[in-house]
Amino acid sequence: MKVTVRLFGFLAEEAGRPELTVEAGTAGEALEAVKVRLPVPKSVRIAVNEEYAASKTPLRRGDVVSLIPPVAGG
Amino acid sequence: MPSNVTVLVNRQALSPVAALRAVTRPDCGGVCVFLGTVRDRNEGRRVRKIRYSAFEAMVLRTFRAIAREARMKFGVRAVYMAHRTGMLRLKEASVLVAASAPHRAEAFAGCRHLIERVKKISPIWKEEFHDRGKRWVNRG
Repeated sequence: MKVTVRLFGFLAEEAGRPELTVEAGTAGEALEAVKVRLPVPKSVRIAVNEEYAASKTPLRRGDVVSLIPPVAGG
Repeated sequence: MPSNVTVLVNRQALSPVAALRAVTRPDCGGVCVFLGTVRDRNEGRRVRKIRYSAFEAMVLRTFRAIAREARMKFGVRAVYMAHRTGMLRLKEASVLVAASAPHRAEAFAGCRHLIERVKKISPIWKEEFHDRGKRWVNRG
């Protein structure tokens, strides 16, 4: 299934774009598919539809995966 | 009746007065406000300015979740949480959180909880600008 992956922080800067489209059935597969195209450090977390999610989280049509680099608010 | 939780993330300057107005209530005798500002040094480097970016929809979701935690753990009755995005100069406020509770101990503890959790879970990033170049903070 085609899934949109949103990129933030240095990931978006290094990719030169705010999102990618990948083929994936779980959140973890989406991450792995991005890693083929872009170096992604281990510290990056996954979110599905604005909630942090585990790698095994299954994706449904229309879900948006986001890759969340280590946060630095405040 | 106004909500007892106010959450904001945008480019506008932060207003401690708005925060106080939002959380001050007759059943609370303690209000605690925390303001985080842009500092001129970090990890041995001189900082000139900081650019904040955020996954705004998710930031607001995390702010609401953090406010619920503060209510459950510390009994705070009203919460205000705001974070700026965009380029900020030295001394400008990047984050503002406030909590009110019947007594000061819960107000302090609740306010502390708000800022500590924002720094742990809210998807906000910063780029520090130095005399030469810039870097992503917490790049990991």
